[in-house]
Amino acid sequence: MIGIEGISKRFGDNEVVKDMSLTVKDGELLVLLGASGSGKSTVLRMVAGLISPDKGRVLLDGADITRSSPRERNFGYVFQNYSIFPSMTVAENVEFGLKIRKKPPEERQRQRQRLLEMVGLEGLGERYASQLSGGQLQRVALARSLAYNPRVLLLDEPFGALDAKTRIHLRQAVRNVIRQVNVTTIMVTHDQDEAFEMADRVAILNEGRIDQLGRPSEIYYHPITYFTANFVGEINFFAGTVTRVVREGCEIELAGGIRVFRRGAYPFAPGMPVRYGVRPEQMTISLLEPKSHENGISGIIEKNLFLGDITRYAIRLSDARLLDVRILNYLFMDGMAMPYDLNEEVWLIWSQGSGIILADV
Amino acid sequence: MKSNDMAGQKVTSFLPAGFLLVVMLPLMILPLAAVFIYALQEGPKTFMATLTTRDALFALRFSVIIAFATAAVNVVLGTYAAYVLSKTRFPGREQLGIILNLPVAIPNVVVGTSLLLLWGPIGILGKFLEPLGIQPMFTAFGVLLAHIFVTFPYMVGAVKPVLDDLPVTYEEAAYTIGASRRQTFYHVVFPALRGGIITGALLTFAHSLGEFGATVMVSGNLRLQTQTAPLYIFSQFEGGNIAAANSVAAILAVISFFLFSLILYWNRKRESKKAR
Repeated sequence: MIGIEGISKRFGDNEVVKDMSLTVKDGELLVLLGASGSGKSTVLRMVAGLISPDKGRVLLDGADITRSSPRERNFGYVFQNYSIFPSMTVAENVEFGLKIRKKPPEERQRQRQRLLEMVGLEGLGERYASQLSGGQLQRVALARSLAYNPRVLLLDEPFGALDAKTRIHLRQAVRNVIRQVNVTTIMVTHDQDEAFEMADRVAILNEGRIDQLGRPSEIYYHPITYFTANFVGEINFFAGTVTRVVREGCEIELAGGIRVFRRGAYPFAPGMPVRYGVRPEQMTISLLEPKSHENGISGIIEKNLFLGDITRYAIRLSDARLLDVRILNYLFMDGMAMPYDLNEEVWLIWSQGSGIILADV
Repeated sequence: MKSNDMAGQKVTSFLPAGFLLVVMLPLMILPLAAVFIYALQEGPKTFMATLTTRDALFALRFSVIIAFATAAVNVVLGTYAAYVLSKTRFPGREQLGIILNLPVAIPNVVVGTSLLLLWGPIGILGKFLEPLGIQPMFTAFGVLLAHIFVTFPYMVGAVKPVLDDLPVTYEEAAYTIGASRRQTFYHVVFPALRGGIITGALLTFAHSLGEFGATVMVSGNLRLQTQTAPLYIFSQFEGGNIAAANSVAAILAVISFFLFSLILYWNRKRESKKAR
């Protein structure tokens, strides 16, 4: 178990990490997701011991390791730029940690073979870094950092330098390897898809602080801050006021005068200002008015953008604001033109079980 | 790495090469040829005879030994300086980098005189050593001191760019894997520097071999004691002994040609390794 207790780090006048605390459970894969400058890499480097925090502590199974050197920690670290030693072969790279630990050659060889097989690089042991692709280099880096059975694995934007296809392929492979060896892992990324695909839990970082920490679905459907709601996926937000609170849920009047209902228990009272958000894919377009158990708002189709699997619509509401809606194209019949024309007046309909309400602070 | 695009393609054309040859002929190639022509003018026998005099042999041997020693000291000191300048941050780092490069621009004679003024028998520091019987100037040690001074920038210049290009994550990777600083330098940094160090050593060696200005000041030009090959050539030429001067000069030219071929070879090998 890794504990981060109130760590802060300042570079010059810039406080990059601000009093951050976090616990990573044994065998868990935790992803720090944030934009550049959110402090996520700095946190990872402090956990690795490559830099030390100005304040706070890093704990491993309860023991304070804040001042331990990287070599004392016995962690694995995978860098965005792979950093495979160019003067060594793939095999020598993978065995490096064992060589440093003075393990006998047979053990080194056995472990190297096992790991190269695990990452899908069997038979490439005699190659040099210059003879491998980016995806292969990152596989070597993973094998190298797992070879000495690290207590924790740290991944710093591991897919950041790869092309889109390789990235998708590799993250599944990496995820499988991590599952297989069951090592406690912290990964840093700015890519939401990557974070959601890899993570048991995701921490959303904003300007050196953790905005929200939770399972991917929690983060996506139940963001607790405006920042997280906007940072993860896309969302249409409205200003609104709570008009009615009942046992089944609460009713909100949006700025345009439309009333929407959200099922569920909310700690709100009538008259409270809130923000109400709904994600583009949660809405459908219809020519029919919403039923009593649905939410709906009418508007005029201003733009449609065919994107293959989905079509994106921009809908102009009566109060002149634009809403983003995404419709899955499997609903459309073969050979048929897009069912909704530009400038057509339509209803946007969504369930009363979807929608995100945040207290307006 | 991007050798396949149009910009990387080289055209075969004789005109520019011909023009270059016309310009370089009187500038460099003819003077070099003259060395060999004069050296061999009176036949191979005389050439060998002038080359095997005690003075000539001493001068050549002395020059090669000094060049070796200079290169050896520079490999250690220059690599260390390059490492400090590239990998550490301290106030005055840039100024120090500039100062270390100054010998390239300062006339070597000035280097020689300043060494004399510092370490000579009446020099700032030398006058304290004189009563102790220590006299670095007009000795082989003095010559070595001067050569290290004037060749130091070439060593730093060959190694520092390689270090600058080496991402810090390579060292960090080694640390996280569990390597100590020493192990990291030995297994990760040094292998990456090898090409730069070899190039620097060869460059230093070559410069030391041909050094004249500083040597003439600090050595006293004492034959069979501190007379390097370039000093020997100059002395022989002044004494009207053209054939003797040119035979040693020819040998120096051959050694230099060989050395620079080696440097070229090493750089090619490095480039091709990078691009592979």
